[in-house]
Amino acid sequence: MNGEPLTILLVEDNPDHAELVMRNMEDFQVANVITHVEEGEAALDYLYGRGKYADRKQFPMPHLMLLDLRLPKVDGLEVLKEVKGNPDLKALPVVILTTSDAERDSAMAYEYHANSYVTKPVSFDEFSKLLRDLGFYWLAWNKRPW
Amino acid sequence: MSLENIKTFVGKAWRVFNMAAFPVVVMVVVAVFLNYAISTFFINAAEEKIKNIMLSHRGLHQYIQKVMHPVFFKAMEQGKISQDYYAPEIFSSSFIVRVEHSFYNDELKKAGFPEIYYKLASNNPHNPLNKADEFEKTLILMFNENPEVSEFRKVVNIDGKKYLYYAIPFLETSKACIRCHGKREDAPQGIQVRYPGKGGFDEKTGVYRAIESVRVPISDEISTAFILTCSFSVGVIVMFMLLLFNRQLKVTVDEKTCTLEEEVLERKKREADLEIKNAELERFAYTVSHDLKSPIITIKGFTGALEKDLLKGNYERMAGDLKRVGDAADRMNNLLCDLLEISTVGRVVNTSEVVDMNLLLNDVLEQLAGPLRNSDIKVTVQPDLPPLFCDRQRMCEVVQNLVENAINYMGGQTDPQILFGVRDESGVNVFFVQDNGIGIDKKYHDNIFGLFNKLDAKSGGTGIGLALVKRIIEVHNGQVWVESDGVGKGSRFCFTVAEN
Ligand code: HEC
Repeated sequence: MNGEPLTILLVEDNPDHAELVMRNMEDFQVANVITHVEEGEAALDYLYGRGKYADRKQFPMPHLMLLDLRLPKVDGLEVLKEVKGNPDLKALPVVILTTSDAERDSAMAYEYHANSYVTKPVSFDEFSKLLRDLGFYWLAWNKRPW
Repeated sequence: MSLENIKTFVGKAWRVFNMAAFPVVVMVVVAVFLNYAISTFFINAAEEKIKNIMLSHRGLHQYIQKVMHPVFFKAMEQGKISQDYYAPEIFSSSFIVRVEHSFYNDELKKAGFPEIYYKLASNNPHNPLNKADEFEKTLILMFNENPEVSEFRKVVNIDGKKYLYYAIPFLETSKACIRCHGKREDAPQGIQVRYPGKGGFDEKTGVYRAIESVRVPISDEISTAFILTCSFSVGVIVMFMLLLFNRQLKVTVDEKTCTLEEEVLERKKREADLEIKNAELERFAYTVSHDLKSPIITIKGFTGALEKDLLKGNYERMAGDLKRVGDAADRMNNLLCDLLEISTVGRVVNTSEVVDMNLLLNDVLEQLAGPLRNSDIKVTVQPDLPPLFCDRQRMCEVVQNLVENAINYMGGQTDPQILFGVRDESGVNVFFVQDNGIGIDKKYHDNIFGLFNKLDAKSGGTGIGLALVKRIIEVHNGQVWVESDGVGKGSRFCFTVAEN
């Protein structure tokens, strides 16, 4: 871990869901920093270090992005498309974390090279377990791109 | 067959008759002409035959008078034949020709041909056999009076059969004839003996004394002409009927094809409509499942968290988490109410009426008086709004939602204003709600009318307002859209309602 803080960018428009994700992540202490943005546009601003996210020290490049699909304005798929289409960003592991289990959404997500697609479980225990596993897998087991 | 059917049938028949009338007239004219032409052709053929017979008879006459007589007379002069000797069998051309013709008829009969009547009809004949009847007498007179007329022909009816009657004047009485047709006492002794009466004597030169006439049956020919004409006419009529039938058939087929094509088009349109409806439904189901599942995850998630905290005796977050659960449940309730609301649009239809939009605006603004006052918004309504034919209650919802929307998205505007007005766009009244709020980026102009789509996650409401507006306007066969020059420039929501 070279002392470098592990960062997750959480893109989620529902503040309650964001709270649940962050609480669980904190409980398991897999990541050092979780930054939560509510809109797709904000997520892109963050990744490109634009606007209020210009300071890379304060807003470092994330090691994992948890991305919801249904977002106001720029939706999750558009964010994904943008990230995977950008040579500098495409290595970033993007896990789609969404309420939708629609065939079409997962198909589209994979079409745009999502690294993983998971549906938010309704059960709290499963929700916790999923986030723990996700965190460990992508941030500990998985060889990070940077 | 219904009365309607009978009418159309009669109409069709009348059209066909009209179409047929002209060709039928032409056909009749052609048939009559044709019959005449064919008959004439056959009569001419018959006449030729008659002329042939006559000419051959005349040839015989000539031979007898020009060749035989001189020989006889010479022999008489030389005393080889007695001056008193006379036998018509060898002297009289008319006699010889008559007898020759009867032999000819015998031969015709034997050969299976019809007999041909021949008569040398004369005034004042030596031989009563040659006596002209009344009709023949008039013909002889006619030829004498009209030397330029060389022949007479007529189709006559005898015992129901048709004949071509043909007559020409017999040789003109010349000097040579007078020897036997002049004064009785000058004629050879034999003639005087044989023809004791006055008949055949005292003739004058330079006149026609007789006619030669022939009659040939032409019944067969005329009926042949008739049959030919008839079969031709029948052929033409059949052909014409076929053409007409073919045309009628083509028209019917064309009509059928047309309706079929229309049906196909209609079905395609219905299928396309259905496809749009299906896509809409799919989107609806997707949105509903997503938006309803969302609060469930919140509720389940935080009740789980609460349970955990309860066990740990960690009470600080509990109040907040309980509120989240409660809010999520409320949100779900609101969503369900909204869904119910939107699903009734188009299903529960109030009758449309002419709605006074001025009064309607009054009502709506009265209802929204509270929020408007709270936000300190100045509302202007264009005076003398035209009336609108619509479902009054639904139109209230439309206006209310649009005004609410304007209130909700006023942003930090220090002088918030809303204007309700109408403008004329090529004869269509376009109503609009205009605000000077946060405005909307061009790329979201379509999006915002989607079910539960919100541009601002934090803004109030479930995001159903504009979807409801769109649904109601659609049911009114109208259109709804937004005009905005972009963020911070305010927006103008416009709608129309189809006039009927
Ligand atoms: C040699 C005497 C002779 C001469 C010449 C002669 N004819 Fe006759 N012609 C007769 C006799 C005999 C008959 C009656 C025959 C019969 O019994 O049918 C007759 C009959 C006729 C008939 C029929 C009517 C009738 O009197 O019975 C005509 C018409 C006739 N001749 C015209 C002429 C003409 C015209 C000429 C001159 C071109 C002519 N003839 C010369 C002897 C003659």
